[in-house]
Amino acid sequence: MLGSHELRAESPGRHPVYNDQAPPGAIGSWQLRRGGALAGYYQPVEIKAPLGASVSLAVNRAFDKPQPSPRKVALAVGAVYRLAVVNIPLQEGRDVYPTIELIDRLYPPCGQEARFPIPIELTAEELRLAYEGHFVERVIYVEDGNRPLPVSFEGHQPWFDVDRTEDALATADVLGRPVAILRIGGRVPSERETDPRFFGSGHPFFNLSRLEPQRAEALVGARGTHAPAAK
Amino acid sequence: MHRPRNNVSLAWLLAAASLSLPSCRSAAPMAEAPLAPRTIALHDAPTPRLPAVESPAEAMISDEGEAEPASQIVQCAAEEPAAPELNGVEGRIVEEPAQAAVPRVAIRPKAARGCASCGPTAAPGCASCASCPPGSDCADRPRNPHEWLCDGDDAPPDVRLTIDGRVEGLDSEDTVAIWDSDDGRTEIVASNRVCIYAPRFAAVRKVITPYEGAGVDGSQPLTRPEGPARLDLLAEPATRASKEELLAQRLARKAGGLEASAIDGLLSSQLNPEGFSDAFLPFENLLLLRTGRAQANEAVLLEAGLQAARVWTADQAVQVAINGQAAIELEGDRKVQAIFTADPQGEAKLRVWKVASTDAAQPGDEVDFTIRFDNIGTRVIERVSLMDRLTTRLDYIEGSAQASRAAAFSTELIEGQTVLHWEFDEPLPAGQGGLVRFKCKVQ
Repeated sequence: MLGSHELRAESPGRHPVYNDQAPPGAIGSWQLRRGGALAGYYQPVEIKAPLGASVSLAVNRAFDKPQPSPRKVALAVGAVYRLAVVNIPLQEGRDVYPTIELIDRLYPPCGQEARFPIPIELTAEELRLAYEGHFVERVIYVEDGNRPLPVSFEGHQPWFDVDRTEDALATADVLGRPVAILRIGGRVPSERETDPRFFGSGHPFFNLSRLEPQRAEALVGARGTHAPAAK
Repeated sequence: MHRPRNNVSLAWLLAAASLSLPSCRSAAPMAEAPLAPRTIALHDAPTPRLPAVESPAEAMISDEGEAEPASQIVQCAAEEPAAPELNGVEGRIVEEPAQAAVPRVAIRPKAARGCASCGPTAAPGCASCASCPPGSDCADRPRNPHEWLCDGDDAPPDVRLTIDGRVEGLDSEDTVAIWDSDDGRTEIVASNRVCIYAPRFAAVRKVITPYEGAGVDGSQPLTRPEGPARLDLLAEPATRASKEELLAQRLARKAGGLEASAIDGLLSSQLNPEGFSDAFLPFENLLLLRTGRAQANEAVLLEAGLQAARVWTADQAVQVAINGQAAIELEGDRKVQAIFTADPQGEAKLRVWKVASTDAAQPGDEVDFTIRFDNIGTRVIERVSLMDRLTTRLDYIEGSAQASRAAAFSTELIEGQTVLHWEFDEPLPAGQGGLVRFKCKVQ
């Protein structure tokens, strides 16, 4: 569970420590300040976009070459990454630029880190909501193994909608352990985007999609607890 | 779940009681006949004229009458014989009607509750640590239980039998075996706990409109800034997960390594005099011991026994023999309350182990489970039944259940969870065991 040395009076529907209205990167940095095995850890993530769409990630104020979905990368815990979802089926020309913020990590058996990525799903509905001007916040959590929902999760990731007055982070914290926050908005960069914050926190990432599974396991396993040596 | 009532005949029980200790029976009439043929012997109690029983207990007594150290084997807590705590958390007594002669007892022993006590903190020489099954709690227990899917053991409230034979307390993930000993006792033993890494993800979504009444017609196509920012780290890592580890995981899908099991019943009955699991021992049939109330008809017996006990010395105490065997001391022989018992027929114990074919699985994967049960006691076990209530995330694959011994298999759906039930037809002799296997699909 998310926790901190900071305490706040609890109120119904609100997280006792964090707030889902915090700016991107705030919760991740708070989590890092708690210590533990989070700092420098690169957590495998699988980004799933609608069939046919491509995904690229930003680093050094630019996006890499779009790759077809699903795309598997390893992202730093506590960092914010900007994505570009392009070639959306039936929505050609409309690109969406969500962000991913990892606020926690997984603890799989050694050597199987890349086999269990955190799934980040970008549904067609949410992409449509984004370019219609809405802001979609999706808190991904690991389900509480002691209280599993009696439904099959195979092939999709279920979600629960909360009211705009509720705290999505608090709800996810009740249902399990929040690990990532996906924010999808309608903002698009200008042709000469100068705001460095748009491109995220600037952390590098591992590209795991084109690696063989064994190499991906070895890569994440060997470097999982510290930052990569070279970009 | 319903378990048929015990069908031990009253005639058999009466015969066993009459054979065990005629003198005690005559001195203290028993309202409830003890089930176990154990005996009480104060120092002046006449030794019953029964044929000497060829028992391992005899071999453990030296000519000087002192019990020799039976073995240098150090037992792990997980292998220690059952120590009933009838009034504690572990043990439960299901009360029978007052007129019933056979108290039904469902005892949950401490043993066979996984390998949690093994590992770095185990006693030196602990042999069972190396034999802990893969995927059990021997390994590092996950620091985040959210990501693990566990099955086995008996979580509170404990499984218990009711008077009419119904099984209660079989919660999600519980795996227990219920069995009868040949003296009519019914006991419950839980398996170890098996955990599989199988995280499952969901999301909480919130959709807001930043400016009420305002809408965006659509974003304009633009030329995205692209750059050589791609990170393809293809360099050889400093260390690499060896392929041998992966092969070892495949081999772990078979539970063949568990087919050899050690029998500790012969030793445990000697090394652990507290290892009995009876509900009511003969000496407990005195109301003074059972209820704390002194009765006039027990005064003579108590006075004789306590006075006799006071004259014992340490050297004499170990010479107590019952039925031709050395008695097992239950309490310190320097106290007047010293009581000895002898168990000429040994005890019945069942050990249940559960293993999984893998320690990590994705939703949709199939996982094999194997449960092994062994009679590690010295007496025949009857009417063994295994019950496993699967967690919601495990779907039993129809037709995948197998058993190495003849058994009636059935499934039942309770609150969306499948309960697997094996009822073994044949008695399980000492030193023998069996296997059951089944497959599940991870949800």
